[in-house]
Amino acid sequence: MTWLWILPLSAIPVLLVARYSHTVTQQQWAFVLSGVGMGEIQRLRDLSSVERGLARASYLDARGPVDPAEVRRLLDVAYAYVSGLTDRRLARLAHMAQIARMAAAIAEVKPLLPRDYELGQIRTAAALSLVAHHVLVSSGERFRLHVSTLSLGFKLARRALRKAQAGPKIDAGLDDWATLDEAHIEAFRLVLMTLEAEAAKGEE
Amino acid sequence: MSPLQLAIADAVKVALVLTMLGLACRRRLRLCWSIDAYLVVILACNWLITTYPAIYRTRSFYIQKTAVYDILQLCVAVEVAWYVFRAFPGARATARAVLLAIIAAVAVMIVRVPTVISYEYAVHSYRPQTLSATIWILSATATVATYYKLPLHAWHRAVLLGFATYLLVFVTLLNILRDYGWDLRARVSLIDAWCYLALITWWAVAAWRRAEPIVVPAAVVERLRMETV
Repeated sequence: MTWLWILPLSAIPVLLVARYSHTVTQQQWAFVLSGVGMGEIQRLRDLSSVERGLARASYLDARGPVDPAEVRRLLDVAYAYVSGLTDRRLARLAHMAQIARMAAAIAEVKPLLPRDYELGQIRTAAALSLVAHHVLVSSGERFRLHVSTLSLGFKLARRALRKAQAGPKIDAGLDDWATLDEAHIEAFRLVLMTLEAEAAKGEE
Repeated sequence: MSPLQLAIADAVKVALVLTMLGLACRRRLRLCWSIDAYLVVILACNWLITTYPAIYRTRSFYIQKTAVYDILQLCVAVEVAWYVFRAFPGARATARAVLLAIIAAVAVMIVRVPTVISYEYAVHSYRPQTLSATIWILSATATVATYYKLPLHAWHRAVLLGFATYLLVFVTLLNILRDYGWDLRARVSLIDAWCYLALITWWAVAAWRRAEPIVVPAAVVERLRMETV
């Protein structure tokens, strides 16, 4: 019965239960299930829309001057702004990944589509993610894959904008960044809306 | 039976009665019917063995009572799992796959058990296997519940933690007995008795402990099917 020696391993999850906090768990689930998040979605949508407009405008400003040094300086300023916005989105996606397990207990997600993106690297990431999406079984794994792909997409878009010198590359980067931005709001909405729908179904 | 063993057995009886009273007074009997049955059977067997040792402190009775204990322990593990996952279809699907694999392994193991078993076989081989299955079901439940951050009632948590920890110690003791021989039987039996007393005492405390405060709206409590007792 050599396999019995692996028994001590079974104590690990039990120790995890020992660290459980009922109050904290209740509060997390209350946030996930309550309608409070609905207002947050609209606020996030409005804020993201303004930020996207400002990002595009900052890059448009960089096309005005003829002086290459001035163009470079304005491009750096525009990039710094987009980079800051990207960091905020990555942090938000990291938080989403944390609550994804709770959402996965009762939710389902759709994958990113390569055709929605212009940059080759993001298209490839989306295509690989699409394949993986169909291989994975649980909704939790799919959601975490979705969030990971979005994070990777944001990083690739940011890198493309940093390297971009010409108009078309900047436009492609900004367009993909905007598409990813919509997708990350959709992911946030999906978590809350599906749980809300499930809650309503449960009340019927 | 030595005076110390008798004293521990009596202390276990008191702790069992206190646990059941606590569960009844706090209206927690319905939280896990299997463990209520398990506690009653343990109390009855304990009483029979200490009151009529000549009749009931025998190898045949040991095999019979441990068979009942093992079935009830498996029932406890499955019922706690059902309770924890009942409000979470997604988590339940994952848990179902894991638990079915464990239960299938248990079924294969039970089929392989001879129809007539000796006392030595029961102690050396049969019990460690069935108890390991129970431990794995409890551990799988704990893992999936932790993974999905599912709310756990204090009583279910006490059952999960207490049972898994005690059974782990007990199976290890059985393995020690098998590997190092029967000379250690008295010492191993005493360690097991102390551990069991600690488990039941802890359950008694958990059974009487007041319910943890509910800090979320009633709709959330209802949706998650959380117990407020």
